[in-house]
Amino acid sequence: MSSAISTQGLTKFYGKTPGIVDLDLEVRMGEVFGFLGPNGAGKTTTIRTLMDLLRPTRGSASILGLDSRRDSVEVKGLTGYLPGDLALWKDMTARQLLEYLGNLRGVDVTASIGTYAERLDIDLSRKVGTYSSGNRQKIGVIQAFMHEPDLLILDEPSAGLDPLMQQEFYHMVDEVKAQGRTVFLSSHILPEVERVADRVAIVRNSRLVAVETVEDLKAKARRRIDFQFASPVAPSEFTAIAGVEHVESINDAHGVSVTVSGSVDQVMKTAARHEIVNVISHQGDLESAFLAYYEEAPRC
Amino acid sequence: MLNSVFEKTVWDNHRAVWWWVGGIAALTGLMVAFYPALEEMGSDFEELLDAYPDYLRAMFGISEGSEFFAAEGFFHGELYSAMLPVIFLIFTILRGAAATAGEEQAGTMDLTLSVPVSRSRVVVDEFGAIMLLTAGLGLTLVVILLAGNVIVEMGLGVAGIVAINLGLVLIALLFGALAMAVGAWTGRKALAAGVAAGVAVAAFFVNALAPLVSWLEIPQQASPFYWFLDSRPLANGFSWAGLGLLAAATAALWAAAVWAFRRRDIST
Repeated sequence: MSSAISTQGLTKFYGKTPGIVDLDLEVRMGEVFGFLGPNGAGKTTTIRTLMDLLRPTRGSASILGLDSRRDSVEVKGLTGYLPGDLALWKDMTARQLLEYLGNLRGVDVTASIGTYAERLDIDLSRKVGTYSSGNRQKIGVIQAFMHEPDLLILDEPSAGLDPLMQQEFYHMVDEVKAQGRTVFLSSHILPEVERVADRVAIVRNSRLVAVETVEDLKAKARRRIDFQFASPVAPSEFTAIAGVEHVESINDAHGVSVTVSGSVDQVMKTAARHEIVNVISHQGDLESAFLAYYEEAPRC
Repeated sequence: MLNSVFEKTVWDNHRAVWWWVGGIAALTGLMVAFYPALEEMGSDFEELLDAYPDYLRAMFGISEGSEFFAAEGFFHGELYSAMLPVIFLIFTILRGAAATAGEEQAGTMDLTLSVPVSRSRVVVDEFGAIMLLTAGLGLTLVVILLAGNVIVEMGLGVAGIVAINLGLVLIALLFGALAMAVGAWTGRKALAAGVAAGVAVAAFFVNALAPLVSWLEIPQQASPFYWFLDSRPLANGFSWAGLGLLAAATAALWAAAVWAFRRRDIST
């Protein structure tokens, strides 16, 4: 069985500056694959190379069994792409813009545009230039989904969407997966990828650091939890718990900050013995979540 | 409904182009309306013109012994030697530069190229739209001169009217294609417009000043303005050599734009 995306030593330099280096990646048919890394890690470079907007310095990529360079027009017919730096034509209405892109694809998208617009709660009759950035992002999402492509390549898709719309977007991704289609999405937000993806690739400094299933990632992910208690609590209560890597006292001994990897169950149960005023979980912080990978990775 | 990049590009210009049509029509209409009065006062002006310095006479296409106040000389000199080429070239150079380079700088090229349309097709369609729009401007002039010919009896030949406007459209497309090729090569709109405008200005002066400067006689042959005007198309009709050179150079630059755009990274 062929893969949805497969890259062999894919490398892109901008002059002497590396964009992505020696990327070997395998995305299976029918999976939701997260492409995770901090800003500037090479995610957008990789995606734009897959879409034949950038030409690889060396290496190659095949998409749905087709060569990303030679067969790029055919690839685009089977793919939906949401650019990371989304720019839209401002003088047309959202509906005109979406229908134009549908016409270029030779697909009648009138019905699906309406359905997605309703789901994402956007009025398509206005000029594109008058929308907020969140609404422009919705238009970008709709144009990637509307023709029901076999493969969706989405660069930071939920950027600018409010939490409610992000949930709706995740449902849309779930549906695509349920239909056996493939989604490749980049993100710098760990919980988002945990929510939608089956497997995750982590990139950093233009290189692939790891490919993991989301379960394994969760087990390894490191997060910091700050508790605020009604009365002083000794940090030593937490130090012996499995997975706890660092404990410190905050807020004049009324608070404890715990850094834990893997399960937070015992940490929470220990904290619950005291009266808790507030809890803040810093799990969205990719830098600390992947500190483990980053420290293992060779410095360049 | 917009079904192609070609239609989209025409649609993008549909409002602006009417202003261009209106402006060109007003300018040319005014010249036509003034012509009978000038013709009457002709001999007085002829003396005044003789007193002009040679370089000004050359610039306006007034050659030794040509009759400025015959309709042919008047329109050749007043409109087609400088004013209309400047207007037409601004029109095509702006659009040529805005074509792929403008879309790249706006960031919308990613979207155009996310659908199953080849890069060659994008360049072909965008330039095709510029051809259609420029031909529309040329047609406006043909209609006005033909009408003026009847109304104020200017005595211009139909072949001459069609020939000089065909040449005008072609020279404008040539420099539009140059702007587009530079834009496709570099992705930079201002550079594309600047290079095309710079080459056009140089080509214009080489042709205009050649009658006065002997060492310009050879370079003049390479100027598209020479190809356009030397045969005095308004009087003599179609010069297939001149029109052929204009068309061939335009086609070559168009092909260069396709080639340049196919080989590049698209900037964001």
